[in-house]
Amino acid sequence: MRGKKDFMLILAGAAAAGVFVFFLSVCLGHEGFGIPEDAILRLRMTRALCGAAAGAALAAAGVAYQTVLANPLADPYLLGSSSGAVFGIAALSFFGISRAGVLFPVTAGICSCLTVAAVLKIAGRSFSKKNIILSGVAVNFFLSAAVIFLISFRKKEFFSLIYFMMGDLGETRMSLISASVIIAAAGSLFLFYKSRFLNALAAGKTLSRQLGCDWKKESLIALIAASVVTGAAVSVSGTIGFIGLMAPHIARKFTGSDARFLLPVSASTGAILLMLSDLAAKNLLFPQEIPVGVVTAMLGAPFFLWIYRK
Amino acid sequence: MMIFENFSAGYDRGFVIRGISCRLDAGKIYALIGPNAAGKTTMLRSIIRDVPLRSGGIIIDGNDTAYLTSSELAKKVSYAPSEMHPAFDYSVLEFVAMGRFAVNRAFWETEEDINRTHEAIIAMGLESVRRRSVAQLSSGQKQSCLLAQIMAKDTDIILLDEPAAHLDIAHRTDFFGKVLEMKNNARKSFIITFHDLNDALNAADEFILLKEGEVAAVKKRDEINEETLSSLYGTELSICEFSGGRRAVLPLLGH
Repeated sequence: MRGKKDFMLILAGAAAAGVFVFFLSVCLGHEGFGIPEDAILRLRMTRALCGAAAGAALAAAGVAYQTVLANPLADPYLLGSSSGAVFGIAALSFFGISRAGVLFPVTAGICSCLTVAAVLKIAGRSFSKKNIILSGVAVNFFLSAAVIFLISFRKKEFFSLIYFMMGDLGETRMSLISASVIIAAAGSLFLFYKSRFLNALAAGKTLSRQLGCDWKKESLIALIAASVVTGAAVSVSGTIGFIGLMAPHIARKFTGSDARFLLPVSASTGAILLMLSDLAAKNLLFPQEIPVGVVTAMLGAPFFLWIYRK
Repeated sequence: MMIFENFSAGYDRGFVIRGISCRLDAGKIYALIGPNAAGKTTMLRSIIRDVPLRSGGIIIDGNDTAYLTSSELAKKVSYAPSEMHPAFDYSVLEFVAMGRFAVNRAFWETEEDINRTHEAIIAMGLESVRRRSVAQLSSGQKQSCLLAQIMAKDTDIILLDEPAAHLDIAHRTDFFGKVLEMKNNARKSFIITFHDLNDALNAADEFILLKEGEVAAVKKRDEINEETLSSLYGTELSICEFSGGRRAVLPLLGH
Protein backbone atom coordinates (compact mmCIF):
# COMPACT_ATOMS: atom_id res chain seq x y z
CA MET A 1 0.00 0.00 0.00
CA ARG A 2 1.18 3.52 -0.76
CA GLY A 3 2.05 5.69 2.19
CA LYS A 4 3.65 8.98 3.11
CA LYS A 5 6.84 8.34 1.15
CA ASP A 6 5.06 7.74 -2.17
CA PHE A 7 2.90 10.73 -1.39
CA MET A 8 5.89 13.05 -1.06
CA LEU A 9 7.32 11.77 -4.34
CA ILE A 10 4.05 12.18 -6.20
CA LEU A 11 3.51 15.61 -4.70
CA ALA A 12 7.01 16.72 -5.68
CA GLY A 13 6.47 15.50 -9.25
CA ALA A 14 3.11 17.26 -9.56
CA ALA A 15 4.51 20.49 -8.12
CA ALA A 16 7.55 20.39 -10.42
CA ALA A 17 5.33 19.96 -13.48
CA GLY A 18 3.16 22.87 -12.33
CA VAL A 19 6.16 25.15 -11.78
CA PHE A 20 7.56 24.20 -15.18
CA VAL A 21 4.33 25.15 -16.98
CA PHE A 22 4.10 28.36 -14.93
CA PHE A 23 7.60 29.26 -16.12
CA LEU A 24 6.62 28.36 -19.67
CA SER A 25 3.53 30.56 -19.67
CA VAL A 26 5.55 33.50 -18.33
CA CYS A 27 8.34 33.14 -20.88
CA LEU A 28 6.43 32.05 -23.95
CA GLY A 29 4.84 34.84 -25.98
CA HIS A 30 4.04 35.71 -29.57
CA GLU A 31 7.56 37.17 -29.91
CA GLY A 32 9.14 33.86 -28.93
CA PHE A 33 10.73 32.41 -25.82
CA GLY A 34 12.55 34.55 -23.27
CA ILE A 35 12.17 36.57 -20.10
CA PRO A 36 10.04 39.60 -21.03
CA GLU A 37 10.49 43.18 -19.85
CA ASP A 38 9.23 44.15 -16.39
CA ALA A 39 5.73 45.42 -17.18
CA ILE A 40 4.90 42.43 -19.35
CA LEU A 41 6.57 40.05 -16.91
CA ARG A 42 4.31 41.32 -14.14
CA LEU A 43 1.22 41.00 -16.30
CA ARG A 44 2.11 37.50 -17.43
CA MET A 45 2.91 36.37 -13.91
CA THR A 46 -0.41 37.68 -12.61
CA ARG A 47 -2.16 35.96 -15.46
CA ALA A 48 -0.35 32.66 -14.93
CA LEU A 49 -1.10 32.90 -11.20
CA CYS A 50 -4.82 33.40 -11.91
CA GLY A 51 -4.74 30.48 -14.34
CA ALA A 52 -2.90 28.18 -11.96
CA ALA A 53 -5.12 29.08 -9.00
CA ALA A 54 -8.40 28.85 -10.90
CA GLY A 55 -7.34 25.62 -12.64
CA ALA A 56 -6.24 23.96 -9.41
CA ALA A 57 -9.38 25.12 -7.58
CA LEU A 58 -11.75 23.94 -10.31
CA ALA A 59 -9.98 20.58 -10.41
CA ALA A 60 -10.16 20.16 -6.63
CA ALA A 61 -13.86 21.05 -6.71
CA GLY A 62 -14.31 18.59 -9.59
CA VAL A 63 -12.75 15.76 -7.57
CA ALA A 64 -15.05 16.55 -4.65
CA TYR A 65 -18.22 16.77 -6.76
CA GLN A 66 -17.41 13.59 -8.66
CA THR A 67 -16.55 11.66 -5.53
CA VAL A 68 -19.44 12.79 -3.35
CA LEU A 69 -22.05 12.30 -6.06
CA ALA A 70 -20.32 9.07 -7.23
CA ASN A 71 -20.69 10.58 -10.69
CA PRO A 72 -17.74 10.67 -13.12
CA LEU A 73 -19.50 13.39 -15.17
CA ALA A 74 -19.84 15.92 -12.37
CA ASP A 75 -17.88 19.14 -12.72
CA PRO A 76 -18.37 22.69 -11.40
CA TYR A 77 -19.49 23.87 -14.83
CA LEU A 78 -21.92 21.07 -15.68
CA LEU A 79 -23.40 21.11 -12.18
CA GLY A 80 -24.32 24.79 -12.55
CA SER A 81 -21.99 25.73 -9.72
CA SER A 82 -19.96 28.11 -11.94
CA SER A 83 -23.08 29.73 -13.41
CA GLY A 84 -24.38 30.35 -9.91
CA ALA A 85 -21.12 32.10 -9.04
CA VAL A 86 -21.28 34.23 -12.22
CA PHE A 87 -24.84 35.13 -11.38
CA GLY A 88 -23.74 36.37 -7.95
CA ILE A 89 -21.00 38.46 -9.53
CA ALA A 90 -23.34 39.86 -12.18
CA ALA A 91 -25.82 40.79 -9.45
CA LEU A 92 -23.11 42.71 -7.59
CA SER A 93 -22.14 44.48 -10.82
CA PHE A 94 -25.81 45.23 -11.42
CA PHE A 95 -25.84 47.16 -8.15
CA GLY A 96 -22.76 49.02 -9.30
CA ILE A 97 -20.32 47.47 -6.85
CA SER A 98 -16.84 47.43 -8.37
CA ARG A 99 -15.07 44.09 -8.62
CA ALA A 100 -12.60 44.13 -5.81
CA GLY A 101 -11.86 42.62 -2.42
CA VAL A 102 -13.32 39.75 -0.53
CA LEU A 103 -16.99 40.49 -1.26
CA PHE A 104 -16.90 38.97 -4.74
CA PRO A 105 -15.47 35.53 -4.01
CA VAL A 106 -17.70 35.24 -0.93
CA THR A 107 -20.88 36.17 -2.82
CA ALA A 108 -19.87 33.90 -5.67
CA GLY A 109 -19.30 31.04 -3.23
CA ILE A 110 -22.69 31.48 -1.57
CA CYS A 111 -24.50 31.65 -4.92
CA SER A 112 -22.61 28.59 -6.08
CA CYS A 113 -23.71 26.63 -2.98
CA LEU A 114 -27.34 27.65 -3.51
CA THR A 115 -27.22 26.66 -7.17
CA VAL A 116 -25.79 23.21 -6.44
CA ALA A 117 -28.47 22.74 -3.77
CA ALA A 118 -31.15 23.67 -6.32
CA VAL A 119 -29.71 21.37 -8.99
CA LEU A 120 -29.60 18.42 -6.59
CA LYS A 121 -33.10 19.17 -5.35
CA ILE A 122 -34.42 19.20 -8.93
CA ALA A 123 -32.52 16.02 -9.78
CA GLY A 124 -34.35 14.20 -6.98
CA ARG A 125 -33.29 11.91 -4.21
CA SER A 126 -32.00 9.07 -6.35
CA PHE A 127 -28.98 11.18 -7.42
CA SER A 128 -28.92 9.37 -10.75
CA LYS A 129 -26.06 10.34 -13.04
CA LYS A 130 -28.20 11.61 -15.88
CA ASN A 131 -30.71 13.47 -13.73
CA ILE A 132 -27.98 15.48 -12.07
CA ILE A 133 -26.36 16.48 -15.36
CA LEU A 134 -29.71 17.29 -17.01
CA SER A 135 -30.91 19.46 -14.18
CA GLY A 136 -27.47 21.09 -14.12
CA VAL A 137 -27.83 21.92 -17.81
CA ALA A 138 -31.31 23.35 -17.32
CA VAL A 139 -30.22 25.50 -14.38
CA ASN A 140 -27.17 26.60 -16.40
CA PHE A 141 -29.39 27.83 -19.25
CA PHE A 142 -31.64 29.67 -16.88
CA LEU A 143 -28.82 31.36 -14.98
CA SER A 144 -26.95 32.36 -18.15
CA ALA A 145 -30.10 34.02 -19.41
CA ALA A 146 -30.61 35.71 -16.04
CA VAL A 147 -27.03 36.99 -16.08
CA ILE A 148 -27.40 38.48 -19.57
CA PHE A 149 -30.67 40.03 -18.51
CA LEU A 150 -29.03 41.62 -15.46
CA ILE A 151 -26.02 42.97 -17.28
CA SER A 152 -28.13 44.36 -20.11
CA PHE A 153 -28.95 47.15 -17.67
CA ARG A 154 -25.32 48.17 -17.47
CA LYS A 155 -24.30 49.09 -20.99
CA LYS A 156 -20.83 50.29 -19.97
CA GLU A 157 -19.70 46.96 -18.54
CA PHE A 158 -21.75 44.77 -20.84
CA PHE A 159 -18.91 43.49 -23.00
CA SER A 160 -16.44 42.97 -20.22
CA LEU A 161 -19.04 40.87 -18.40
CA ILE A 162 -19.93 38.88 -21.52
CA TYR A 163 -16.23 38.21 -21.88
CA PHE A 164 -16.11 37.21 -18.22
CA MET A 165 -18.90 34.70 -18.85
CA MET A 166 -16.73 33.05 -21.48
CA GLY A 167 -13.74 32.77 -19.15
CA ASP A 168 -11.10 35.43 -18.88
CA LEU A 169 -7.79 35.37 -17.03
CA GLY A 170 -7.05 39.07 -17.55
CA GLU A 171 -7.89 39.98 -13.95
CA THR A 172 -5.37 42.45 -12.48
CA ARG A 173 -6.96 43.75 -9.26
CA MET A 174 -4.63 42.34 -6.62
CA SER A 175 -7.11 42.62 -3.74
CA LEU A 176 -9.61 40.45 -5.63
CA ILE A 177 -6.95 37.99 -6.74
CA SER A 178 -5.42 37.54 -3.30
CA ALA A 179 -8.80 37.15 -1.57
CA SER A 180 -9.88 34.56 -4.13
CA VAL A 181 -6.62 32.63 -4.04
CA ILE A 182 -6.69 32.46 -0.24
CA ILE A 183 -10.30 31.23 -0.18
CA ALA A 184 -9.66 28.71 -2.95
CA ALA A 185 -6.51 27.42 -1.27
CA ALA A 186 -8.18 27.14 2.14
CA GLY A 187 -11.16 25.28 0.67
CA SER A 188 -9.00 22.93 -1.36
CA LEU A 189 -6.77 22.16 1.63
CA PHE A 190 -9.87 21.45 3.68
CA LEU A 191 -11.09 18.99 1.02
CA PHE A 192 -7.64 17.39 1.01
CA TYR A 193 -7.79 17.06 4.80
CA LYS A 194 -11.14 15.25 4.32
CA SER A 195 -9.67 12.88 1.72
CA ARG A 196 -10.47 9.67 3.56
CA PHE A 197 -14.04 10.81 4.07
CA LEU A 198 -14.24 11.47 0.33
CA ASN A 199 -13.05 7.92 -0.31
CA ALA A 200 -15.76 6.58 1.96
CA LEU A 201 -18.40 8.77 0.27
CA ALA A 202 -17.31 7.48 -3.16
CA ALA A 203 -18.48 4.04 -2.06
CA GLY A 204 -22.05 5.36 -2.02
CA LYS A 205 -24.57 6.12 0.69
CA THR A 206 -25.04 2.67 2.21
CA LEU A 207 -21.42 1.53 2.10
CA SER A 208 -20.15 4.86 3.44
CA ARG A 209 -22.40 4.35 6.44
CA GLN A 210 -20.93 0.96 7.17
CA LEU A 211 -17.51 2.65 7.04
CA GLY A 212 -18.63 4.91 9.87
CA CYS A 213 -19.05 8.02 7.79
CA ASP A 214 -22.14 10.13 8.43
CA TRP A 215 -23.17 10.32 4.77
CA LYS A 216 -25.56 13.24 4.99
CA LYS A 217 -23.30 15.44 7.07
CA GLU A 218 -20.06 14.63 5.27
CA SER A 219 -21.47 15.02 1.76
CA LEU A 220 -23.03 18.33 2.74
CA ILE A 221 -19.69 19.58 4.09
CA ALA A 222 -17.79 18.45 0.99
CA LEU A 223 -20.35 19.94 -1.42
CA ILE A 224 -20.26 23.28 0.40
CA ALA A 225 -16.45 23.32 0.39
CA ALA A 226 -16.36 22.45 -3.33
CA SER A 227 -18.87 25.20 -4.13
CA VAL A 228 -16.99 27.82 -2.12
CA VAL A 229 -13.80 26.85 -3.95
CA THR A 230 -15.63 27.10 -7.28
CA GLY A 231 -16.95 30.55 -6.36
CA ALA A 232 -13.44 31.76 -5.58
CA ALA A 233 -12.10 30.37 -8.86
CA VAL A 234 -14.92 31.93 -10.86
CA SER A 235 -14.41 35.38 -9.33
CA VAL A 236 -10.93 35.61 -10.86
CA SER A 237 -11.48 33.67 -14.05
CA GLY A 238 -15.15 33.78 -15.07
CA THR A 239 -16.84 30.61 -16.32
CA ILE A 240 -14.23 28.14 -17.41
CA GLY A 241 -15.81 24.81 -18.19
CA PHE A 242 -14.54 21.24 -18.17
CA ILE A 243 -11.28 21.79 -16.26
CA GLY A 244 -12.97 20.24 -13.23
CA LEU A 245 -14.03 17.32 -15.41
CA MET A 246 -10.82 16.68 -17.34
CA ALA A 247 -8.19 17.21 -14.65
CA PRO A 248 -9.48 14.54 -12.20
CA HIS A 249 -9.87 11.97 -14.97
CA ILE A 250 -6.36 12.60 -16.28
CA ALA A 251 -4.94 12.52 -12.75
CA ARG A 252 -6.75 9.24 -11.98
CA LYS A 253 -4.68 7.56 -14.70
CA PHE A 254 -1.57 8.31 -12.62
CA THR A 255 -2.79 8.03 -9.04
CA GLY A 256 -5.89 5.85 -8.97
CA SER A 257 -8.95 7.02 -7.08
CA ASP A 258 -7.62 7.44 -3.52
CA ALA A 259 -8.45 11.10 -2.84
CA ARG A 260 -5.29 11.59 -0.78
CA PHE A 261 -3.27 11.18 -3.97
CA LEU A 262 -5.89 12.20 -6.48
CA LEU A 263 -6.67 15.64 -5.04
CA PRO A 264 -3.18 17.18 -5.14
CA VAL A 265 -2.34 15.64 -8.51
CA SER A 266 -5.67 16.80 -9.96
CA ALA A 267 -5.06 20.30 -8.67
CA SER A 268 -1.67 20.37 -10.37
CA THR A 269 -3.18 18.90 -13.57
CA GLY A 270 -5.96 21.51 -13.52
CA ALA A 271 -3.45 24.32 -13.08
CA ILE A 272 -1.35 22.99 -15.96
CA LEU A 273 -4.36 22.48 -18.23
CA LEU A 274 -5.65 25.98 -17.66
CA MET A 275 -2.26 27.66 -18.07
CA LEU A 276 -1.68 25.76 -21.32
CA SER A 277 -5.20 26.55 -22.58
CA ASP A 278 -4.55 30.19 -21.82
CA LEU A 279 -1.27 30.11 -23.73
CA ALA A 280 -3.22 28.81 -26.71
CA ALA A 281 -5.99 31.37 -26.19
CA LYS A 282 -3.48 34.25 -26.16
CA ASN A 283 -1.27 33.17 -29.03
CA LEU A 284 -3.34 31.14 -31.49
CA LEU A 285 -4.93 34.14 -33.25
CA PHE A 286 -2.51 36.82 -32.06
CA PRO A 287 -3.14 39.76 -31.69
CA GLN A 288 -6.77 38.71 -31.30
CA GLU A 289 -7.31 36.91 -27.98
CA ILE A 290 -9.79 34.02 -27.68
CA PRO A 291 -11.68 33.69 -24.35
CA VAL A 292 -9.92 30.84 -22.56
CA GLY A 293 -13.29 29.21 -21.76
CA VAL A 294 -13.70 28.63 -25.48
CA VAL A 295 -10.44 26.70 -25.62
CA THR A 296 -11.29 24.55 -22.58
CA ALA A 297 -14.78 23.86 -23.93
CA MET A 298 -13.35 22.74 -27.27
CA LEU A 299 -11.15 20.27 -25.43
CA GLY A 300 -13.67 19.44 -22.73
CA ALA A 301 -16.83 18.73 -24.68
CA PRO A 302 -15.32 15.78 -26.62
CA PHE A 303 -13.76 14.62 -23.36
CA PHE A 304 -17.19 14.71 -21.73
CA LEU A 305 -18.62 12.53 -24.51
CA TRP A 306 -15.75 10.10 -24.12
CA ILE A 307 -16.37 9.73 -20.37
CA TYR A 308 -20.11 9.54 -20.97
CA ARG A 309 -19.77 6.65 -23.40
CA LYS A 310 -17.30 4.73 -21.28
CA MET B 1 -25.97 -9.57 21.10
CA MET B 2 -28.84 -7.65 19.59
CA ILE B 3 -32.30 -6.90 20.96
CA PHE B 4 -35.08 -5.45 18.83
CA GLU B 5 -37.64 -3.58 20.91
CA ASN B 6 -40.85 -2.89 19.05
CA PHE B 7 -38.65 -1.69 16.20
CA SER B 8 -40.22 0.02 13.15
CA ALA B 9 -38.37 1.66 10.27
CA GLY B 10 -38.88 2.70 6.66
CA TYR B 11 -39.44 5.52 4.21
CA ASP B 12 -42.87 7.05 3.64
CA ARG B 13 -42.91 5.45 0.23
CA GLY B 14 -41.24 2.06 -0.05
CA PHE B 15 -40.84 -0.91 2.21
CA VAL B 16 -41.52 -0.59 5.89
CA ILE B 17 -40.81 -2.95 8.75
CA ARG B 18 -43.08 -2.82 11.75
CA GLY B 19 -43.12 -3.72 15.41
CA ILE B 20 -40.19 -6.10 15.51
CA SER B 21 -39.35 -7.49 18.92
CA CYS B 22 -36.82 -10.27 19.23
CA ARG B 23 -33.54 -11.19 20.81
CA LEU B 24 -30.59 -12.51 18.82
CA ASP B 25 -27.65 -14.37 20.39
CA ALA B 26 -23.96 -13.84 19.72
CA GLY B 27 -21.91 -16.31 17.71
CA LYS B 28 -24.73 -17.55 15.53
CA ILE B 29 -25.74 -17.27 11.92
CA TYR B 30 -29.28 -16.01 11.52
CA ALA B 31 -30.97 -16.49 8.18
CA LEU B 32 -33.40 -13.70 7.40
CA ILE B 33 -35.92 -15.26 5.05
CA GLY B 34 -39.26 -14.32 3.61
CA PRO B 35 -41.00 -13.73 0.30
CA ASN B 36 -40.12 -10.88 -2.08
CA ALA B 37 -41.08 -7.47 -0.71
CA ALA B 38 -41.18 -8.76 2.86
CA GLY B 39 -38.68 -6.06 3.82
CA LYS B 40 -35.52 -8.16 4.27
CA THR B 41 -33.12 -5.58 2.82
CA THR B 42 -34.97 -2.78 4.62
CA MET B 43 -34.54 -4.60 7.91
CA LEU B 44 -30.78 -5.07 7.41
CA ARG B 45 -30.27 -1.50 6.26
CA SER B 46 -32.33 -0.13 9.14
CA ILE B 47 -29.93 -1.78 11.58
CA ILE B 48 -27.09 0.41 10.25
CA ARG B 49 -29.50 3.40 10.23
CA ASP B 50 -29.51 3.62 6.45
CA VAL B 51 -33.32 3.60 6.63
CA PRO B 52 -35.06 6.11 8.92
CA LEU B 53 -36.25 4.86 12.30
CA ARG B 54 -39.96 5.19 13.01
CA SER B 55 -40.34 3.91 16.54
CA GLY B 56 -38.81 1.54 19.06
CA GLY B 57 -35.14 0.73 18.91
CA ILE B 58 -32.31 -1.77 18.71
CA ILE B 59 -30.04 -2.48 21.66
CA ILE B 60 -26.52 -3.69 20.91
CA ASP B 61 -24.17 -4.40 23.85
CA GLY B 62 -26.53 -2.45 26.09
CA ASN B 63 -26.57 0.64 23.85
CA ASP B 64 -29.55 1.94 21.95
CA THR B 65 -28.15 2.28 18.41
CA ALA B 66 -30.10 5.49 17.82
CA TYR B 67 -27.80 7.27 20.27
CA LEU B 68 -24.49 5.96 18.91
CA THR B 69 -22.43 8.14 16.56
CA SER B 70 -21.94 6.88 13.01
CA SER B 71 -18.43 5.80 13.83
CA GLU B 72 -19.41 4.02 17.07
CA LEU B 73 -22.12 2.12 15.24
CA ALA B 74 -19.73 1.20 12.41
CA LYS B 75 -17.36 -0.33 14.97
CA LYS B 76 -20.12 -2.66 16.12
CA VAL B 77 -21.96 -3.59 12.93
CA SER B 78 -20.88 -4.23 9.33
CA TYR B 79 -23.07 -4.49 6.28
CA ALA B 80 -22.50 -5.79 2.76
CA PRO B 81 -25.04 -5.05 0.01
CA SER B 82 -26.01 -7.76 -2.48
CA GLU B 83 -24.34 -5.95 -5.31
CA MET B 84 -22.22 -2.88 -5.83
CA HIS B 85 -21.25 -0.81 -8.83
CA PRO B 86 -18.36 1.42 -7.82
CA ALA B 87 -18.27 4.63 -9.85
CA PHE B 88 -14.48 4.86 -9.67
CA ASP B 89 -11.55 2.51 -9.89
CA TYR B 90 -10.46 1.73 -6.37
CA SER B 91 -8.03 -1.18 -6.18
CA VAL B 92 -8.93 -4.20 -4.05
CA LEU B 93 -6.18 -3.16 -1.65
CA GLU B 94 -7.60 0.36 -1.30
CA PHE B 95 -11.14 -0.96 -0.98
CA VAL B 96 -10.34 -3.45 1.78
CA ALA B 97 -8.18 -0.88 3.58
CA MET B 98 -11.20 1.45 3.67
CA GLY B 99 -12.68 -0.91 6.26
CA ARG B 100 -9.97 0.29 8.65
CA PHE B 101 -11.30 3.84 8.30
CA ALA B 102 -14.12 2.79 10.61
CA VAL B 103 -11.52 1.98 13.27
CA ASN B 104 -8.81 4.58 12.69
CA ARG B 105 -9.55 7.89 11.03
CA ALA B 106 -6.01 9.27 10.98
CA PHE B 107 -4.87 10.60 7.60
CA TRP B 108 -2.50 7.67 6.98
CA GLU B 109 -3.06 4.02 7.85
CA THR B 110 -1.06 2.66 10.76
CA GLU B 111 1.08 -0.47 10.62
CA GLU B 112 -1.77 -2.39 12.23
CA ASP B 113 -4.24 -1.13 9.62
CA ILE B 114 -1.94 -2.33 6.85
CA ASN B 115 -1.37 -5.73 8.47
CA ARG B 116 -5.06 -6.32 9.06
CA THR B 117 -5.79 -5.36 5.47
CA HIS B 118 -3.28 -7.85 4.11
CA GLU B 119 -4.54 -10.59 6.43
CA ALA B 120 -8.10 -10.05 5.23
CA ILE B 121 -7.02 -10.08 1.59
CA ILE B 122 -5.16 -13.35 2.08
CA ALA B 123 -8.01 -14.91 4.08
CA MET B 124 -10.45 -14.15 1.26
CA GLY B 125 -8.08 -15.39 -1.42
CA LEU B 126 -7.76 -12.03 -3.15
CA GLU B 127 -3.94 -11.71 -3.30
CA SER B 128 -3.79 -12.30 -7.03
CA VAL B 129 -6.23 -9.46 -7.78
CA ARG B 130 -5.21 -7.04 -5.07
CA ARG B 131 -4.04 -4.38 -7.53
CA ARG B 132 -7.05 -4.74 -9.83
CA SER B 133 -9.98 -2.35 -9.75
CA VAL B 134 -12.93 -3.62 -7.71
CA ALA B 135 -15.26 -2.39 -10.47
CA GLN B 136 -13.76 -4.89 -12.91
CA LEU B 137 -14.10 -7.97 -10.72
CA SER B 138 -16.70 -10.73 -11.01
CA SER B 139 -19.71 -10.72 -8.68
CA GLY B 140 -18.13 -13.45 -6.59
CA GLN B 141 -14.90 -11.53 -6.19
CA LYS B 142 -16.83 -8.37 -5.32
CA GLN B 143 -18.58 -10.26 -2.51
CA SER B 144 -15.20 -11.51 -1.32
CA CYS B 145 -13.93 -7.91 -1.33
CA LEU B 146 -16.88 -6.81 0.76
CA LEU B 147 -16.31 -9.62 3.25
CA ALA B 148 -12.58 -8.83 3.32
CA GLN B 149 -13.37 -5.18 4.07
CA ILE B 150 -15.62 -6.34 6.91
CA MET B 151 -12.89 -8.69 8.18
CA ALA B 152 -10.44 -5.80 8.22
CA LYS B 153 -12.99 -3.78 10.20
CA ASP B 154 -13.38 -6.67 12.62
CA THR B 155 -16.87 -5.99 14.00
CA ASP B 156 -18.75 -8.57 16.06
CA ILE B 157 -21.95 -8.28 14.07
CA ILE B 158 -22.04 -8.77 10.31
CA LEU B 159 -25.07 -8.24 8.07
CA LEU B 160 -24.97 -9.74 4.57
CA ASP B 161 -27.67 -8.97 2.04
CA GLU B 162 -28.08 -11.91 -0.33
CA PRO B 163 -24.37 -12.45 -0.67
CA ALA B 164 -24.88 -15.49 -2.91
CA ALA B 165 -27.34 -13.87 -5.31
CA HIS B 166 -24.95 -13.87 -8.27
CA LEU B 167 -22.62 -16.71 -7.33
CA ASP B 168 -22.49 -20.16 -8.92
CA ILE B 169 -22.72 -23.22 -6.70
CA ALA B 170 -18.96 -23.61 -6.23
CA HIS B 171 -18.39 -19.97 -5.33
CA ARG B 172 -21.40 -20.11 -3.05
CA THR B 173 -20.03 -23.08 -1.18
CA ASP B 174 -16.67 -21.39 -0.93
CA PHE B 175 -18.21 -18.12 0.29
CA PHE B 176 -20.35 -19.69 3.00
CA GLY B 177 -17.32 -21.77 4.03
CA LYS B 178 -15.53 -18.53 4.82
CA VAL B 179 -18.56 -17.25 6.71
CA LEU B 180 -18.70 -20.42 8.83
CA GLU B 181 -14.98 -20.09 9.51
CA MET B 182 -15.47 -16.52 10.74
CA LYS B 183 -18.31 -17.66 12.96
CA ASN B 184 -16.43 -20.62 14.43
CA ASN B 185 -12.95 -19.12 14.78
CA ALA B 186 -13.72 -15.49 15.58
CA ARG B 187 -17.20 -15.96 17.10
CA LYS B 188 -18.74 -13.42 14.73
CA SER B 189 -22.53 -13.14 14.57
CA PHE B 190 -24.27 -12.95 11.23
CA ILE B 191 -27.65 -11.95 9.92
CA ILE B 192 -27.84 -13.05 6.30
CA THR B 193 -30.73 -12.72 3.87
CA PHE B 194 -31.17 -15.73 1.62
CA HIS B 195 -33.10 -16.28 -1.55
CA ASP B 196 -32.00 -19.87 -1.80
CA LEU B 197 -33.50 -21.75 1.13
CA ASN B 198 -31.08 -24.65 0.61
CA ASP B 199 -28.15 -22.35 1.33
CA ALA B 200 -29.99 -21.11 4.38
CA LEU B 201 -30.64 -24.64 5.66
CA ASN B 202 -26.98 -25.47 5.08
CA ALA B 203 -25.40 -22.47 6.72
CA ALA B 204 -27.74 -20.93 9.28
CA ASP B 205 -28.26 -21.80 12.95
CA GLU B 206 -31.52 -19.94 13.32
CA PHE B 207 -34.16 -18.43 11.06
CA ILE B 208 -35.89 -15.08 11.24
CA LEU B 209 -39.13 -15.40 9.30
CA LEU B 210 -40.17 -12.05 7.86
CA LYS B 211 -43.55 -11.50 6.29
CA GLU B 212 -45.05 -8.20 5.17
CA GLY B 213 -42.60 -6.20 7.24
CA GLU B 214 -43.19 -8.13 10.44
CA VAL B 215 -41.25 -10.92 12.11
CA ALA B 216 -43.57 -13.93 12.10
CA ALA B 217 -41.21 -16.01 14.22
CA VAL B 218 -37.60 -16.77 15.09
CA LYS B 219 -36.97 -20.51 14.83
CA LYS B 220 -34.07 -22.90 15.31
CA ARG B 221 -32.92 -24.82 12.26
CA ASP B 222 -34.56 -28.08 13.53
CA GLU B 223 -37.87 -26.31 13.96
CA ILE B 224 -38.04 -25.40 10.29
CA ASN B 225 -40.46 -27.74 8.57
CA GLU B 226 -42.55 -27.89 5.42
CA GLU B 227 -45.45 -26.18 7.08
CA THR B 228 -43.52 -23.12 8.33
CA LEU B 229 -41.89 -22.56 4.95
CA SER B 230 -45.05 -23.18 2.94
CA SER B 231 -47.08 -20.75 4.98
CA LEU B 232 -44.28 -18.15 4.96
CA TYR B 233 -43.99 -18.16 1.19
CA GLY B 234 -47.65 -18.92 0.43
CA THR B 235 -46.82 -21.85 -1.81
CA GLU B 236 -46.49 -25.55 -1.21
CA LEU B 237 -42.92 -26.61 -0.44
CA SER B 238 -41.53 -29.97 0.48
CA ILE B 239 -38.37 -30.75 2.42
CA CYS B 240 -36.26 -33.78 1.52
CA GLU B 241 -34.03 -35.35 4.16
CA PHE B 242 -30.65 -36.83 3.34
CA SER B 243 -28.37 -38.99 5.41
CA GLY B 244 -26.44 -36.95 7.99
CA GLY B 245 -29.49 -34.79 8.64
CA ARG B 246 -28.92 -32.52 5.67
CA ARG B 247 -32.07 -31.16 4.11
CA ALA B 248 -33.16 -29.55 0.87
CA VAL B 249 -36.28 -27.61 -0.07
CA LEU B 250 -38.18 -28.24 -3.29
CA PRO B 251 -41.23 -26.44 -4.65
CA LEU B 252 -44.17 -28.54 -5.81
CA LEU B 253 -44.95 -27.80 -9.43
CA GLY B 254 -48.41 -28.81 -10.61
CA HIS B 255 -47.42 -31.08 -13.52
